[in-house]
Amino acid sequence: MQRIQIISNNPLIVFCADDCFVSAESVLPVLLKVRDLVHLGHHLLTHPLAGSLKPNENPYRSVVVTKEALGVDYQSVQLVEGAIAVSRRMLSEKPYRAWSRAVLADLQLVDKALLASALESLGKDISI
Amino acid sequence: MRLELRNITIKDVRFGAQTEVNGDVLYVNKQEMVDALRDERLASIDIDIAKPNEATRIVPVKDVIEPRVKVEGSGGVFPGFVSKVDMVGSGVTHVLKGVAVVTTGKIVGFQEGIIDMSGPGAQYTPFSDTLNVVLVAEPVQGLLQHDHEAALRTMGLKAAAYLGEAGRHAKPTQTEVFDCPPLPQALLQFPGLPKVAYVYMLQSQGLLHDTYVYGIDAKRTLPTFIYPTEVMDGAIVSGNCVSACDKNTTFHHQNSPVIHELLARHGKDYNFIGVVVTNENVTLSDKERSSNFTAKLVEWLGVDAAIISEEGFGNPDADLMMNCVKLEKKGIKTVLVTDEYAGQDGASQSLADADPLADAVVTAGNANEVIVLPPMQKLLGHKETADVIAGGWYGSLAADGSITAEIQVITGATNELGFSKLTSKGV
Repeated sequence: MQRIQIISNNPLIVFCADDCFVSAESVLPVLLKVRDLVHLGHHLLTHPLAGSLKPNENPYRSVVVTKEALGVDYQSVQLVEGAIAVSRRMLSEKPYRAWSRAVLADLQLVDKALLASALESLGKDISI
Repeated sequence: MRLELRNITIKDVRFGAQTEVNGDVLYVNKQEMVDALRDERLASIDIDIAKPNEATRIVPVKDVIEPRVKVEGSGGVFPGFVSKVDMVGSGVTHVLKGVAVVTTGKIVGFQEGIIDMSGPGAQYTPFSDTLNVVLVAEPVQGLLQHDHEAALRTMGLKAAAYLGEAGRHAKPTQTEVFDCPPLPQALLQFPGLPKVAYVYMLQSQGLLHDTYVYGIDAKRTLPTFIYPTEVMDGAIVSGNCVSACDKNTTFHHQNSPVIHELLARHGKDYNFIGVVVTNENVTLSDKERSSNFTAKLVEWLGVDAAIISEEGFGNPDADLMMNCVKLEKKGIKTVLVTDEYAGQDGASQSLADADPLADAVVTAGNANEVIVLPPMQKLLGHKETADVIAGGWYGSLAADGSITAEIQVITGATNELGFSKLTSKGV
């Protein structure tokens, strides 16, 4: 089975040794970390723009990439660069609101639910 | 498969002693309806009525459903939910035309889904024209969000079936007949006209982003064929409401304008062969698999062209482009139906993905456009949520109750099935 790593800034996620927690309250640092990995040859396994909450609405994002560098995958590069461009544009137009802690917890929950849906599809343990 | 849709035009909805259709008025026994909707997951249910031109705002809307009842033919409406999973789409179905069930609920802290019954916001939603039976439910303490969403979804479907039942013996005012033959017959019809299929993309990413086909979560399905008339009987049910402008409510599915227009022009401009439903999942392997299967099934239908409608923005743009490119490479022409997030000035790139083969695209509008929604006299739903509109921004709720937000917060504003009021005209 394919080995994976999760790149995320969502504190609700239970991280494994292979995963990478990005300490930031914004999707951009997560996407930039993913981009670095993609350019090093890791392949995207989930779309970097998950969910219908826009990158300037939900600051939490979890992306799954291959654990191993398999050689640069053009589709992964294109998707992550596109996601970064959309996120930058939307954030410059409308930055994050100062959400309450309760709302932030719900935003984390939605990100976690989308990640769980992806992990289930990838045949992974979803007790994240 | 042959379905008769018999419309019963309703011009007013009132509370009354008995739930019934009398003339062109739907009377609702409020207590009986609340009792019919009871669910151990819901602590309370209240029902209200919102009519066109009233100074009423409904927020946050989760789903909108049209009341229908099957009076002849196999199965019942919303198979897999309020009816068994018998095949639907044939026989006779009665529709309470002009009425909509609207569910509201505070499942998560951030909120969306506004229906204004009058004012500038009303011009952006088709549900300002319907007589809305609005359901406001509170969950029992400690109910998890997933269970809360499921409870509200089920409540809405039960409500539409309950009201639809009142139309079982009512006299229809208009009848539409849809006859969709099996594939071998369909292919022989109308030689000389181009053969067209429809690729119906369904949002299926997770909590608040799901769609159900015959009761099964679409993310767990492979693309499949479906008769257009099955959709009219409620075979597709919405469980998604985030970014309310471009999410298909169950009402949209029941009345999909893409399907109705294809059927209306069937035999005149083209030969409408069939529908392929597909999903929009999170993983790239799912996207590849689903678009591969979609392209295979559409090719199997032997069509010349396909219309592809998207649901949502961003992540599903990848599914849209994969479906488009794989069909075009098989020599099947495509027309895409989507909406745009082109920035508040409309000048930015509209989609998160693109391809030169996607050269015929219909837009349903720019969801980033800003609108000021004036205060309303009456708020139905969960009043406190007006301050946490996800598509608004800090301070977008003014002291007078007006809301400044992007039109993405309005239910159905840029619906990607084209069920909206936005249009463009040459001048």
